[in-house]
Amino acid sequence: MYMFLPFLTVLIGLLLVWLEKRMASLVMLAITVGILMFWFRIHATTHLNISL
Amino acid sequence: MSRHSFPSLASLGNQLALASVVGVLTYAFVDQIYFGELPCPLCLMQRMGFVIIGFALVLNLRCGAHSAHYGWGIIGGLVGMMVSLRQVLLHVLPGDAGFGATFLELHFYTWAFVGYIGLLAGQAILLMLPNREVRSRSFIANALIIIFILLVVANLISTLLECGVGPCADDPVRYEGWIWLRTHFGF
Repeated sequence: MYMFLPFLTVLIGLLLVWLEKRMASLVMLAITVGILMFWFRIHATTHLNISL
Repeated sequence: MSRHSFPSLASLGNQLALASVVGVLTYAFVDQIYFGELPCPLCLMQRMGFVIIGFALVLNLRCGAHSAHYGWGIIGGLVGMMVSLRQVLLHVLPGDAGFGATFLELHFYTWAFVGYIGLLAGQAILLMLPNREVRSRSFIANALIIIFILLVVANLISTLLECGVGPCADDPVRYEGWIWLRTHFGF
């Protein structure tokens, strides 16, 4: 679901880095890592039929 | 010429690591567009892991080195490594042909695992170096950052064209989002 979302958050974060908004970009980076971890868990349990 | 005109070792290391991330993401696109292999959901997650490491390196190059940047890069790399290891384990049984094509006799997810180990080791070494003057505005650093941003944009568009706004197919063979656009808007 919404597999484009982490790429979107990274893009927003990179634009913030370019504007030297460090804290805001770090927050976007943290959100991206969170999405990736959540995404892997969902994919692993529903699509790959494994329990992590 | 003053010694300050040369970038520091940590800055060079960050640029080198970013260049390797750019190389990995570029080759993934070559395989996708030239060889016509669409990335599976796990492959997209592995791309994401490399993108997170690249993001942390861009933060170092634009805002100066900070332990928080390396920390988030390492966490992203660990998650990506877990995803690639999961895919290796899915295809590890004897007789399993694996998913997708191979490169130098190894599948891409196996190379991704090797790449994550290299990048994580690289970040560990960068953390040991004196982190002065990592911030760089050189032509090479700016070019690498711009190429990296363009690759992220390309990944965003490619994922939307492949999966639309729904979940991606486990074994994708066509651009579902592109087909949806053509069906609904007639182009």
